This record gives sequence, structure tokens and C-alpha cells, in this order.
Amino acid sequence: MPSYPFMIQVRVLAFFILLPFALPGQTVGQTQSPDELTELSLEELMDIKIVAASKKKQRISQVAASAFVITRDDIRRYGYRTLGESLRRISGLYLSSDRNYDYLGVRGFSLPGDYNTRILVLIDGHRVNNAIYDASLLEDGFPIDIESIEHIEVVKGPGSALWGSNALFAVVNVVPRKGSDMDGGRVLAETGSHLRKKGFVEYGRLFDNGLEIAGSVSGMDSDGENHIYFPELDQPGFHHGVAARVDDEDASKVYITLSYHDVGLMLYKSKRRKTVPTAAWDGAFNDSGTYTDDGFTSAELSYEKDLSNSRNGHFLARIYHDDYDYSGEYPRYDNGGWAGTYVLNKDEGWSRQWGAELRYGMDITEDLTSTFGVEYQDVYEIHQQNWDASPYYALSLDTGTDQNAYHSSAYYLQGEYGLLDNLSLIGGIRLDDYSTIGKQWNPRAALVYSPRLATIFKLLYGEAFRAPNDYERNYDDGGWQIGNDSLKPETIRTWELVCEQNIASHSRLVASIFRFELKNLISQVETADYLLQFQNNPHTVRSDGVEIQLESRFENGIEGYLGVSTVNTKDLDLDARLTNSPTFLASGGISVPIWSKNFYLSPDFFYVDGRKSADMTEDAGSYFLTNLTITSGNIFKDIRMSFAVYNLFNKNIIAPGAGEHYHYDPDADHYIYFNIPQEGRTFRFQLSCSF
Amino acid sequence: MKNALSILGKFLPLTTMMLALVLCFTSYAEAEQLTSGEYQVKAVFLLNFAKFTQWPAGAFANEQSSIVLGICGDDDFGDALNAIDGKTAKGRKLVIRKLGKGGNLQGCHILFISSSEKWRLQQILSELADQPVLTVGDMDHFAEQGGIISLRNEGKKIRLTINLASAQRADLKISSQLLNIATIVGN
Repeated sequence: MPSYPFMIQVRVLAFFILLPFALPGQTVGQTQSPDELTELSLEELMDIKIVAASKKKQRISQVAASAFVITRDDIRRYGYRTLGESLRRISGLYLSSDRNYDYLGVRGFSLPGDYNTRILVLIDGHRVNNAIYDASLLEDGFPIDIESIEHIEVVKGPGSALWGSNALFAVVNVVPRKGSDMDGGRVLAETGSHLRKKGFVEYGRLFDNGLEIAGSVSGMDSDGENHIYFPELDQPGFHHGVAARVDDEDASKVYITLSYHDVGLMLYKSKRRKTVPTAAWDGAFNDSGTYTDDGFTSAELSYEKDLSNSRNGHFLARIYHDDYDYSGEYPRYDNGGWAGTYVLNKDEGWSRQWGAELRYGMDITEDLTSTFGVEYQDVYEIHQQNWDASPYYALSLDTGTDQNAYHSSAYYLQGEYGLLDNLSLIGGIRLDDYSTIGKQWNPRAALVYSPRLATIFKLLYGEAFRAPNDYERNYDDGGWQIGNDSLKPETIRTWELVCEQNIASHSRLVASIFRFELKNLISQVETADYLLQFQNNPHTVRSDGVEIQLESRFENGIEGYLGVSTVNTKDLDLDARLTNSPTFLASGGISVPIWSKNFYLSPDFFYVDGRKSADMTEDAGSYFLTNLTITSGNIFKDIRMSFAVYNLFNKNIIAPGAGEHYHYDPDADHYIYFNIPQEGRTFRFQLSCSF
Repeated sequence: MKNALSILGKFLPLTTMMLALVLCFTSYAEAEQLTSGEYQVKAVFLLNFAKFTQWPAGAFANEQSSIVLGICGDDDFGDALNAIDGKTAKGRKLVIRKLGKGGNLQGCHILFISSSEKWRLQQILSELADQPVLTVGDMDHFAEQGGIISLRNEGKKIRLTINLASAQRADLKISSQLLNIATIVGN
């Protein structure tokens, strides 16, 4: 903020202050009780304004937690390019990039080098986190294109009592567009800074006989920034710290869904290649040969039926198959730093799994509803390999394909009991049984009290866990990193009080205070033999925080949101703050219709407070990021456009580097650790046409 | 204290944005108008349909028989039906019967057909043949496709379309008070 040009700041302020006065007046409703409604005349009924209902069934998990929805309209208005970009509007969530992948921090927890392993990401209830790294990719590596997303449900807090492993901090469910959402087709083309190009086509329909089909195909390609400056590496041997033209990204995705009455089929396939400009793991700096490929391929067949009995029975069965494929090339210089021998190292991993789930929900009595389910997953092939391909072939790791195969089964039971008309008790428990780490029990409990229609209090307790993944257990190259098959799962306990207040029909305010305690954190440490190994950290991480989120949608088309959070997340035994853990976060946006309401002007901002960098000595600083998007409705016939500028004021933003972000300087004979410069100012222009 | 001030300065845009949002609430909260949940209003319309429709002589077993309202397909109403359950219309009690997706349609006086049954609408309508059942729906073009009363969302309000031909085939007389506020098709 201090380096913000003063006049711009004043103009921005004036804009926000004058905004409410500059807009046409409108009416805001008063809620009518159902009994009063029955007394109204036909004419009066005709005059009542309604709040349209969502036809989606509300899930029990969403009721008993602090839950948010990001809609397709939000994605359009604010020009979100990726899933990760859309998530940081929610209080307590922040995003960092190491220019290979994007990482979501939640409640002050985002250790550099952690592949989003403590957030569970789902596509319409289907698990995305893979079996090798537990990773769920949030940038363009996410298997579903952002344009194909209808809405995103975000539930903060532990979710293992319902969903099993990984749901430590949040569960993110991405709901893609279905035939009835599209009812036609759309083509989209976009271009932007750094020769960004993207094409997208979708088509979907609901036929009169009940058949619903939808699908989309997309491809994107970007050269990335052709000049990334790493100040810590500003030396002749490192191209003066400049990584030039080594930030390419390309991704392609296909998504198909089909449903007929109660039966549904979903297929998706994605592949993304990213050139890595950081030359992590002491690789060859400024070398376009460093890249990673990630691909997801999944198929799921489901059967869901409402049983028309007196107990409101609901039955769900799913069976699925997932493939995850990773490969990467990491050229480096051996012996003598950048003047030494050029060695091409290759790394790859894949996992193949299938699984099934059965779930049944019903009303046991008028006041007691319950859901129970069983799940089974079989990771029948899992493979990691690392070798030098040239100048000499040297294999350092090959786990084979089935020696680390494993399976797990799970059983869960959830219940909701109405103690009073406006007070309910919700409880749930899930048992996960892994062939590798044994049994894990995760309970949760919630008391939900609604003294008035517009006010809800939720008192929550929950536990969650993450099973150590194949990479943490079995990556063993002998000379660098060793495996650890005695790793225990990491666990978290969270207490939370949430208050939700609806303000008239246009706003929702959610405030929460929470504490969590994380134990047995799996982290990489250096052993006595100078080898790296994943171990359970004996220290407890504790976090106390407050989060507030305000979301408003006015009938005149204006929308806005504001999220503020403050958190103290620390290692309790060391009494020290974690790396990359800002104590204060703020995000906000306002979207205003302009030019006869056919365009929306939507500025948004993100403030992230100071963070400690990876080597703990330096501060990665705070930052204030501003984006601006102009989106249109139909301009000619069915053509729409969108223009967005990201990092509007071209701020220098850095993210703390991870353990792999270092280089050996042969001249000085020492290691240089560095932080990661984030993307500078970029723009994107998009045109789409519906048919 | 200096620290507190500098923090305040840091968040000046934030504070003003907050202020702007608060101003938005206050400056727009002047003229009040009634709003309600979509299905709460739709439920009350169903009660009114019972009041403003005349069934043929044989449609009820006796003077005490209730008016049976069936909900066919997904129940989008939820608790909204509680407000009209047991209310009286024309001296008869309104009884609600949730039929789900496969329930028996016989014995209803009013049948609300959920949009989940869009794909088998013609099948349902032909199953009812010309029985004196007031069919109501909120799927697109419900009345145009042969249903009797269609509840449409137009902007933020609910509008009615009535298919008079279908009503006549079912031998139902719809009060002019209802016809006056509706769009008529199939005349």
C-alpha cells in the first residue's frame, strides 16, 4: 500500500464512496411469514416479490459448517481464470504460486512445498486429490475448465467425518454445468498478455424424454512472463537472476456428463504442461527444459433415487475409476555448478484406482433423519520413478507398479435430530480403514440454533485426518531422500462458533471464531545423515482466529463481497509463527452495472499481511493485489465479451519459496535460498457466443 | 498507537469499501416491498386455486370430504406446504399428499406436477384423462402443453397462465377472479 500512487488511491476511494449515491434507488424486501401470506388476496399475492429457490438438495454437510457458494455469475463478473483465483474471495483463504503450481492457504496454514494436500477437492462429489501426492491442482491443472463450472461449494473446517482423508481445512466441491444449465452451446475465445490463447466449446441439452447431456472441450496456451527476476540470484552465473522465456503453460481438457432419469455418467480428462522457471531442486537455471506434466482421467457411473416412501428415503450408488499421471524433466549441472556437466533427470509417477460408494438417507422419526454409507477404494497400481537419462543412464528410484498398492474401506453414519423447532443437533462419525495405516475414527458434532428466520448460530466440533501418501512413504532415491513407512496420519481437531445473519433479502453476513490443533504434521526434515525424510512432527500447531464474510446481491444488479480474517497460527512448542502464515487477510469486490446495465464493472482486491519466508530469516512482506474486470451481457445477438486486468498496479508480490527453492553458487561455495516473484500486470480479453 | 494508525492507513480502501456497502444497504432500504420464498408464495397460490375452482358434483364423496392436493415428483416446497396444510377452502379441509416420482395419481383434486416430471408430463396428463383434477405446474410452457394452471416466474413475481380448454375437458369451473389475473391460452 505505501507505494500506491497517491492520486490513484484517492480516485479509487472516491469511486467507492460515491458509488451508492450514483445509482438508481431500489426497493428492498421485508420477509413475510407463511401464515400471513395465506391471508392475502389474489392481487396482493401477485404483487409479492419472490426469492427464487435453489432446486438443489441441501446437503447435511453444508448445513453444519461455515459454507459458501461461488456462482458462475461471480466467475464471470470478476474474471476468475482458475479455481484457485475464485477461492481466495472467501475470508481466511489465500493463494500462493511457485510458478509450477498454485497453493491455497487456509486459516494461516500454507507451508511452502505442500501440494494442497490438506484441502479435499471434489468434482460433483468425486474426489480429485490423487493417491501419490494427495495433490489437487487449482491452476489450469484442475481437470474441469473454469468456464465449465456452474458453481463451487466451499465448506471450511474439518470434513473427514463425511469425506475421509485430506479434509483437514476445507472441502471444495466443484459442480460442473449440466445439460439443463446450458440448453444450447457456446464457443469462447480468449487472448491476453504473454500470448495467452484459449479456446472453449460447450454444448448441453435436456431432452423431453429425460436424457440430459453436456460436454465441453478446451485448450489454452501461454508463453508466460518472458522476464522473471529473482533478486537473490542476481549473479553472472545465474543470468543475473533473470529467467527469460521459461514460463510456458499449456492445458487441454475434456468433460462429458450424461444422465437419464436416475442414472448418471461423468467423464473427464485433462493434461497440463508447465515449464518451471525456478529451476527448483538446484536445477539448471534459465533452462526451458524444466517442466512438469500432470494429467487426470476419470469416469464415474452413479445411480441416485428418491424413494417415494413415507420416510423420504434417498439412495445413492457410485462406482468410479481414476488415473493420475505425472512426469517431469529436471536438467541440472553436476560438479562445478553451472559450469559443470549437463545432466537430464527425469521423474514420473502414476496411480490407477477404482472405488465404489453406497449411501442411504432416511427419516427415522419425524425429528430424526440419518444417512449412512460405505465406501471402498482400491489403488491397484501406484508407481514412482526417477532416473538420469543423459549423459549416462542412472536409475535412482523405481517403486514398480504394484508393490505399494493399497486399499481402504470406510463406513459412515450421520444424523440430524430436531430438539426444538429451531434447534437441532447434528452428529456424524466415519471409520476409515487403510491396508497401510490401519483404522482412523473421525467424529463431528454440531448444534444449530436459529432464534429467528434470518439468524443462525452454529456451534461446531470436528476431527479430520490425512493418511500419509505414497510420495511421503515411498520416495526413496537412496542418495537424497529416503522413505518412511512408519509414518502415522496427521490429525486435526477444530472448534468453531459460526453466526450467520441474513440482512433483508440482499445480504448475508457470516462471522466465525475458531481454534484448531494439528498434530503429527507430516513434514520433510533432514536426518542425521544429511538425507531428507518425511516425519511426523512431534510439535502441535495451534491456530486461533476470527473470520467475517459479507456477501450482498442487490436487485439493481450491484453485488459485492468483503472477507476479513485474522489468525494466529503457530507451532505451540516453539512458540513461533509458521512459514507463509499471514496474520491478517482481507478480500473484497464490488460489481456494478454500467451502460444501461448491459456491462458490469467489477474491481476486486486481496490484501495479504506479512509472511515469513521459507528459510525463516526473511520476511516475504505483505501485498495488496487489485484486479479489474469489465464483463458484458449480450452485445450483438448472443455475443458477450469480458476484459480483465490482473494486478492492475503491477505490484511486486512474492511468495515464500519452499525447501526445493535453492541454488548452489559454485563461486561463493554456498547455497542461495530464494522467494518466488508472483505474476505482474496481465490482461485478458474474452469473446463468447451462444447458439 | 502509531502502529494502530498505520494499520488503519493500510486499510483505507478496505474501510471505504465497507462503508460503501453499508451505505448501499441504508440508501436502498427506504421503500419497502413484500418478499417471500418462491415456494411459500406458490403454496399459497395452490390454496387459492382450491378456493376459486368449482369441481363437478361427483368429485367428492360427501360434504365432509377433503380437497386432496397431490405433489408429484421432486418436492420443491419443503416446509412451505405446512402453511396451507389443513386450511379450509369452500368449507373443505385441504389435505396434502406427497406422491414422489412413482406415486398413485388417483384420488387427487389438485395435482402439482414438479418440473422433475417434465419428461413424462404427457404420460401423466393422459393418465388423468379427463378426470376432474386441477393440474398445476411451474415447468416452462406447462399450460401450453395441456396442463391447466401454470405458475411462471416473471422477473421477481409470479404470474399465472390458464388453459381454459384443459379446464373444460376436466369439467372444472375456474372463477372469473382467477381468470382476470391470468393469461389465458387454449380458448
